[in-house]
Amino acid sequence: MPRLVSNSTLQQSASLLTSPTSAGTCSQSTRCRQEAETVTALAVSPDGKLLASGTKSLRLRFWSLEDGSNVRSLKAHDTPVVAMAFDATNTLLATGASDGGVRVWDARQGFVTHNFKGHTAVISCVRFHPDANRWTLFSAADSGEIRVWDLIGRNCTAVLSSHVSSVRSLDLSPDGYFLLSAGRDQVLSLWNLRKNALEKTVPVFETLEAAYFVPPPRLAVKRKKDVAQAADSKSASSLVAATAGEKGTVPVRGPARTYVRETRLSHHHLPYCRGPGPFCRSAARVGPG
Amino acid sequence: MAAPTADAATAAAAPQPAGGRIQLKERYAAATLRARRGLDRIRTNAGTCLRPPAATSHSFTSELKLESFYTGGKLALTADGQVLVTPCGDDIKVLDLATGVVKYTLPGVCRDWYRTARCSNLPAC
Repeated sequence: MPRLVSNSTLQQSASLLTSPTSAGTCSQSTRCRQEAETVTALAVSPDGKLLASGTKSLRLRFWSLEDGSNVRSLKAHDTPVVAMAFDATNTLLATGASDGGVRVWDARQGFVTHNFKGHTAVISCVRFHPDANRWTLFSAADSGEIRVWDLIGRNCTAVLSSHVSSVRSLDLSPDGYFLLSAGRDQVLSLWNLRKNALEKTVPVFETLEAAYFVPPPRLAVKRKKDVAQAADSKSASSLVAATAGEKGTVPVRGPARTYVRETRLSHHHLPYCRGPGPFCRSAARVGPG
Repeated sequence: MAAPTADAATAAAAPQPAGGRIQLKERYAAATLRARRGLDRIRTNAGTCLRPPAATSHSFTSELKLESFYTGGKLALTADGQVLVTPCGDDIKVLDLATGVVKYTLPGVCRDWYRTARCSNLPAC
């Protein structure tokens, strides 16, 4: 009986190979339909030309956003890719799998440049340092630990563990020395990357899905304290971040001031849209009312 | 005999006001004639009825059709915030946010695997 089955699949694939007209209806054949093509991760390069998608069938596909063509298709990990990020130079792609593996790919050529092992839980977020000259990759897992990877030394330089639940989002301050992590444990953590130590933990009383640094809002009445803080750009107290979580609001928070301005979202799915979009910027521009 | 012909000549010489009462009357008469002959009768669920006169009806052509573009899952936004990439079933849709038009539909199931060499050598495809 198994032999019969194998024969039939062989015949089917043989007929598909020989006649291109029947292969054109490949979507109807059982062989293609068996695969779950549910998209598990998406990433767009910063220049907006390349799209990477990871599916449940373990495929990693690269698409050109200029003409919509499939540039490359390969097998990325042994388990589905759940987190992806491009670096600032559009050449490297980091993928995090559900088995805890993190790989760095050359997006142009399609080969693995780094293979990092260390996480024991499902990867929830990967992010390159925005300054490409630092050659640093950050990855966070559902266990709550954040790892800092050195791309030149090919090792893990630090393990930042303070979160007790899944870390959903990572962002770096404009000067590149502070890391902001938001988790489902309802806290916002600020890490000092000079010391690889926790700088501050801000309780936000909602599970967070995203948190990003935003430019400090224009203040209607400038107080001496605020001016002094803005001038001292290296200190963590001048940083302002917008967060998005389960409440459906986007509060813009400064670690020194707990609360600046809250904007109600029209749709409760919007917080799940990752990325420093124009909305966050406009929310920051509103300033205190 | 002379007077009616003169009247007809002046009536022909005088320009008819466009879209005047006479024209509307004529058109209505023609419409009723056609309707009586059953030409303009249209079938509906409720039965047959008179088609409305052509002068008062408008037909519209669609300029933009919004199709489904998101069924859940992770999204991606470009850095300039102009293009949204969404998973839609097995496919991926690339959406232009300014116009709402789906620019590309990237097929999730490999439909043209026989055409590309790099795709055909994959065991899973």
